[in-house]
Amino acid sequence: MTSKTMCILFSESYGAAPNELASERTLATVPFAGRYRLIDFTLSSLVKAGIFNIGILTKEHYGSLMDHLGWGKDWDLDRKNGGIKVLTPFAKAETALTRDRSKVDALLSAKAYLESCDIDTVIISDANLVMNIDFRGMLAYHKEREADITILYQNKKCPGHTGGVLEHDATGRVIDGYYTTVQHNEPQDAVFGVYIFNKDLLLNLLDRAYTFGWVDFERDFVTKNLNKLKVFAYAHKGFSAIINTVADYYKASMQVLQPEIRQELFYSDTPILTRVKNSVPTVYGFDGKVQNSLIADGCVINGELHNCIIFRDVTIEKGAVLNNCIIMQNTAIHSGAHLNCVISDKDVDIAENHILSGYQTYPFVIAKGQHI
Amino acid sequence: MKQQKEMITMLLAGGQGTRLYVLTKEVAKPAVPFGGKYRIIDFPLSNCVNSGIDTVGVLTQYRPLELNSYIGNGQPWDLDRMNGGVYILPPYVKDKEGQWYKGTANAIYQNINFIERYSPEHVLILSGDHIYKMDYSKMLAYHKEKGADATIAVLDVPIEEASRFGIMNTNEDNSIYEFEEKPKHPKSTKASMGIYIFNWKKLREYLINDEKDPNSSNDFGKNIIPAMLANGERMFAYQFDGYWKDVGTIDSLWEANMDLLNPKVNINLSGDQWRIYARNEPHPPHFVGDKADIAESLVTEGCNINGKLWYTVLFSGVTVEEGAELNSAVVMKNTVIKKGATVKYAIIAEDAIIEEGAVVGDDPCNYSDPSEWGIAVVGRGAIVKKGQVVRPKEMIEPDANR
Repeated sequence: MTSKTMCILFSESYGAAPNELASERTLATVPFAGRYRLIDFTLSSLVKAGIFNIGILTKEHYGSLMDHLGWGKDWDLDRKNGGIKVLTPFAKAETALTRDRSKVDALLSAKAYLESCDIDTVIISDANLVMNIDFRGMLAYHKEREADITILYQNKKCPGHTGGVLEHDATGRVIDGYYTTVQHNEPQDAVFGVYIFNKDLLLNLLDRAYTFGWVDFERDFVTKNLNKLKVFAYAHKGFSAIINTVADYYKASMQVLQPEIRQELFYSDTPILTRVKNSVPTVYGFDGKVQNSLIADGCVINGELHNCIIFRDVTIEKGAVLNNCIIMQNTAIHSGAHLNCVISDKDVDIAENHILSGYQTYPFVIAKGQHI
Repeated sequence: MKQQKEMITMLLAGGQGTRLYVLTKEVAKPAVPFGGKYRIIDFPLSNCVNSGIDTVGVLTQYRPLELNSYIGNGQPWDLDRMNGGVYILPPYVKDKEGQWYKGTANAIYQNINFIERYSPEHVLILSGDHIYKMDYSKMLAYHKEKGADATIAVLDVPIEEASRFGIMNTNEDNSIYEFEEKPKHPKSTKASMGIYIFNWKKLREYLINDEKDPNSSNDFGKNIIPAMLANGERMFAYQFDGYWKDVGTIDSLWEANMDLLNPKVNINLSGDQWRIYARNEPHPPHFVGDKADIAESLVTEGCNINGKLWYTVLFSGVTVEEGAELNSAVVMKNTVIKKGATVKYAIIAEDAIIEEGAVVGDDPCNYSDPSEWGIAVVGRGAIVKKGQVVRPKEMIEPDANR
């Protein structure tokens, strides 16, 4: 039964490369694919698997997260039992210095909450994953192997991937795990930062973490214990993207323009759930010319768009030309502006005839609220 | 104990909408989709909330399932309230026998108990078949200022159209001295919009008396209003001058959708002021492919467009394949227009499939005799097979296979 399972999500990446889009908001709430926030993908996968008890660990500037989630109604997570709980950071004098240095610190702050929940299994996951995770399958696998810890991974070519990789034997048992910074061209078993723990084990490891001052979740909770514990690897199938840097973000966004990937991501058995707003349908004027683009509701399109992702309530004036751009909510691109490989955050205004360009591998990012 | 409310709304949503033919075969008129992501009832419900009215009784009777599940607990309109909120009020069985709502007035009569729970001073009566934005709180202020027993919202219509409406003949101070239903020779151009504010005590009295009259049709327009006028009650006309459209016919429903594309028409749905709320499903943004050509159209999330759109309103999740051509069309959710199909001057309901090369509707320019032309309609779930033609004015039944 999945009802004995809860999930703890990290709204931040703790130490991964900085991301300009997450400077004023949590990584979990970086807007994605025209109307979503990154966390929507993981939340939707959890809800799909019948996991309705979700705690979200926060570090700082989590206003956007609270705004986005509300009471969890849009994910069907406004529950009497369980539901969504934003675990806000709190500083005590003796912990103020170490507060939220790492995932371990964050988990320690949620220990009382974990103890209070009537569950036996805990999913621990990052919230920067663009993919449909089969939590039901992963939980069944965890039970069937009588595992202590199960790790989600995917064997894939990921030349740009710097992060955790694992090695496993024929039975799926993990025999090695480490953090790679070397660029590989061969496929490797990359991990996603999604783990299943038995609750008692997790609480025990947290006690040790507190006692010995552990700081690295992957190293101290998982890799160190590979010999002592039964750690298994569960393979993810299908599309996946981990969003840490702006480059990751841009690449994954552009992939969503491909029909097969969009089909897989959004039209599997249940939809990706997100906060519902009440924008009107998008209006196309006489002079709009749009190709291969994803456009949310509430826009007014009179300019030219090629390979773009346009969020809600964006105005593209006549004579504006955009190529390979991501334009977030409530932005206006005025007449005659030419933009190429630009990511513009919310509430931006780009005046007439301006020419702005980044490059495919290094998009030009415009911060929230800027007037150019 | 329930908190007393100054005014509550009773929304008449039981209409069958027979003049919408195939579009209301399976749903009540107020649940008919409109404008890309709305249903007709979203307009009065949103108007209520935006006017500060938090208690709405929705009187249903005809095919209520879809309407009931659409309204649900009222959350999309902010009408999920501890005290008040939205209530679905179907006819029900009383002590000895039950009966259907015999008329608009009888529907309210049968729900006197519901209204009394809130002991309101005033009751706003609305119908669920009009597209408009209106601040009922201003109308209430007018009603109170005039010390009226009943206030009826009116709209100036062209004199040549006045004989299609219920016309209010008024004195200089806007008090009503006469009401004529569809007069042959209209004396005024003040058409009733079917929006009434009544002093509740007064209305209650009239409803009870009307019920005792076996010859009454128990209708507001035919019985209650004339009876009040005859007794010299204080009745006033409240002038409204925004956009208002009765969408009770195929033509008017199509026109109202097209009005959304006309910048000269004063029905702006965008903006944060006076927003119209709707129950939305989470679809991804719409996708526009390499072969698409879109002008003067409304497109909703979840659509996938690779064809040509011209003066068209697309609801969510519609697919328009390469080479398909739409002109002055209204296409409801999840319908698929396949390769090379043509849809002109037509309304296509939900979940329909227009197969390759099929033709639905035609341009009025191609008809010298205007009586031969009209909007073509395809019912929900219907399939128009490869190469088939649906002529103007023709209607395809729901789930038909043509």
